[in-house]
Amino acid sequence: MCGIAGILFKQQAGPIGDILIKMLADLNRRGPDSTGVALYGNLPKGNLVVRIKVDEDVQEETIDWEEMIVETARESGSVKQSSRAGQYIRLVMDFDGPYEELTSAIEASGQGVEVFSMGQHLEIIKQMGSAQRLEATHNISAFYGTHGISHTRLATESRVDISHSHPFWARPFPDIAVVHNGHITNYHKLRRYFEMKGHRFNTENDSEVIAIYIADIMEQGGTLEDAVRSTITALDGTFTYLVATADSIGYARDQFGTKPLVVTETDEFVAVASEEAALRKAFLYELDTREADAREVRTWHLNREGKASALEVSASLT
Amino acid sequence: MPATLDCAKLTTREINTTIKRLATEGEIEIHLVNPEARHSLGVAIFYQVKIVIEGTAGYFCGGMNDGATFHVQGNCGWSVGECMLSGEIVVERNAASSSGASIRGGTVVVKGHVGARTGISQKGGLIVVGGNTGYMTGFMMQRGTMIICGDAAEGLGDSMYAGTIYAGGEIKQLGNDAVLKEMTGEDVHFLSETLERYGLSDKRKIADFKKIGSGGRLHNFSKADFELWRVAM
Repeated sequence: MCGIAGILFKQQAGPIGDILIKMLADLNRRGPDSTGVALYGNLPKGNLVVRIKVDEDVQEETIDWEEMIVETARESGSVKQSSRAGQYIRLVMDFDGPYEELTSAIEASGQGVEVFSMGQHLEIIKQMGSAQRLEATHNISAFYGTHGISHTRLATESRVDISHSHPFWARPFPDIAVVHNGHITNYHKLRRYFEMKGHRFNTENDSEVIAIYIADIMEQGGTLEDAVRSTITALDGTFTYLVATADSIGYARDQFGTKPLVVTETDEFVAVASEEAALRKAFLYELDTREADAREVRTWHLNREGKASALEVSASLT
Repeated sequence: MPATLDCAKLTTREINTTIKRLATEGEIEIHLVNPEARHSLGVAIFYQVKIVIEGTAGYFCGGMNDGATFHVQGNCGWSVGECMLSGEIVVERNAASSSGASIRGGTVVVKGHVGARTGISQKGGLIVVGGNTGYMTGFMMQRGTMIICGDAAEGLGDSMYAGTIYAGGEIKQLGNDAVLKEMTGEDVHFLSETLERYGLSDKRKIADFKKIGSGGRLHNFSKADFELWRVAM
């Protein structure tokens, strides 16, 4: 199974952390192995927030990881802030690329060091076990932002560890993240293709290829809709996935509609989840929902400059 | 006064066993409050009792029903009324995939839209949809009747053996071996009577409906139909 959930506030930032954690607590029924979120906040332009995982928990630390990583990052740009929670180190930097170089440099600073996300808005936090555990370590529910996507995993292939958990960052493209429910059966073929193009994969999880696929198309100038729509035929297997960029979220369902997705939309927000029961945990009233159809693709865009009502909504069926 | 069960205070098993106990004690109407899209509400109820779900139900609502009448005031998740033998389930809003899957009898009415594979392997009974249907609706239908007031997605009636589908809106694409048949006066009478019974008459003009049945080319293998078999398999 696996559970996925997403939220986007159209008008202004909202309690996305609280909403996602409530939905995830319910979706843990569909996936108890790990829980993760990709949250989009609002740092001023020019800032880069980096989320790095190290192999040790802060309480059992033998090396001062934070200091070591800050040291490494300083060689690429100035570090304005650093903090540590559980296995995560969070940096706020004055940095504008190239992102792959910074990522590689940080990851080379020690064994088991992995960059989980990078971007002006994106923060990926994932952990083994339940939503309650994730909340206890990282206080997700206090996070205000514009949008976010999230995942509970029931591992059916590839290792059960924090690196192989969702969401996946589309390394090295800033601010793009994906969560996925299903299997990508042409994963190895696609992975070989993208590796030959120079993309780096961090895990053996098939879902990672969706993030790279979308980022690759967008890098070539394609829109998010182009990218998401083309996955319907480019990806084999079963999937319902959510994708988020700095200013949008979207979803796609495979040709046979094998994995569920319930969608609800009001003037204030768009919320999606594998099951309506999860939506109801976050919204305490009856919602007008519908199930996305097979082959359905939808995206929502946020206009950060025009804050209030300036929102462009596009919907399309392939 | 109908009996009321508060789902928020009970486990799913407690809800279903209480429904059965109340029905055997002679209760004729039971209301479920705070359903909050819970799965498996009112499954395997074999009594002539009316069950009103005041809100949205999750997966398998009214599954294996034999005799009970359900009224769901909100939405329904996957497989509403799966394997129903007799009785009636009316959903006021939308339902998800596999609605009325494998029913042998009884009636499933969804006033809004339904998802993919609605009425898959239908073996009897009646399914009525007020809105649109999803991909592969009526797949492998074997008997019974389906009425779709809205648009039908790709693969409508794919590989159906028998049974009848009436589709009022646009049919994106008929499935393998599903063919259009001629409407008779009897069909018109049945449609207008059924839609009126469930308050769906204004959803679609009877004249818009098309009748779909099996072409029979997949009943027995014939070399001449090899291409059709290849696609269907």
